[in-house]
Amino acid sequence: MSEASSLKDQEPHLSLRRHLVVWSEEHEQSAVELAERHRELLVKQRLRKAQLNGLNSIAQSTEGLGNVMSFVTHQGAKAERADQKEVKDFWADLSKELMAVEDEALALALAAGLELPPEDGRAKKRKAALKGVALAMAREWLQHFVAHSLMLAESEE
Amino acid sequence: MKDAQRVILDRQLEAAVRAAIAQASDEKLERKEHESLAKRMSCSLETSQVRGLENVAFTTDKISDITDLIKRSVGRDRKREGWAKDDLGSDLIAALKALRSEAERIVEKLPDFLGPVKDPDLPRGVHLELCRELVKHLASDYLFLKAPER
Repeated sequence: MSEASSLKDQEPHLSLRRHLVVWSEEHEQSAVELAERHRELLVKQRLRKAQLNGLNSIAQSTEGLGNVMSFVTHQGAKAERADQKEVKDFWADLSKELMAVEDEALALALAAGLELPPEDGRAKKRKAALKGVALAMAREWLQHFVAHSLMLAESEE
Repeated sequence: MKDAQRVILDRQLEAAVRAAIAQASDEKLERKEHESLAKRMSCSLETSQVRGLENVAFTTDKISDITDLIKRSVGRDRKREGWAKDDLGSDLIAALKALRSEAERIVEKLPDFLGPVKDPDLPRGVHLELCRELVKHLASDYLFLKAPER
């Protein structure tokens, strides 16, 4: 393979990386805002740091956003069983934010010039192609969210 | 625009941006803007923590990676003797974020003829470089202040 064609092959990935970086920086604030909305839970450590670190570990190591969503749903169910309404609401809020991130994957992929299967009759293939983009976005967003949450957890009341 | 013309403009833009960043960095050094942060760092942090900050700043393509590292470090500092001491981490994050307005000023002041090759993401790139400059100065001052202890 010639050097020129090799570089050409890398173009979509480089473009995606560039768009992802900009997206990540622009969406840091929404991750900070979610943590700040639940500041009391974090400062009083009713959400344990181990849960936050666990969330980030899963996000950074998993191959699909579905595993992250399962973790969030499971934590929400645990809080409900323990009758911790505020904690349950927190996990519900986080789930909504992650779904919103997933919804933005198509726009980012298109902006980056990624080749996607056509929409007509190939929804599954299209969704599969977007899976990696959505996961990369969720990883970025969760990194910001967990970092800010950990900082709040150690702040003085 | 022809390819050759674009290459020349790209290089001129890069040179103009580098010069403006260097000037801003030197001016900050002369005004000793970061001195108090460096002093506080030398009283609270281990050399490895400062080296860790430097490594992230110079290898990442995102400013948020630098601030996330500081936030996580504050979150680990239960005894409040390191990054969390007297809000050191929060103050450094604020100083890094404040460089955004300077980055925007630098991009605005670039000569008009470079307009066609200006990337909409340029202010973010300049901001990252200014953050690296700040971290570099802080690390140098930190090591200088720590020298008598070694």
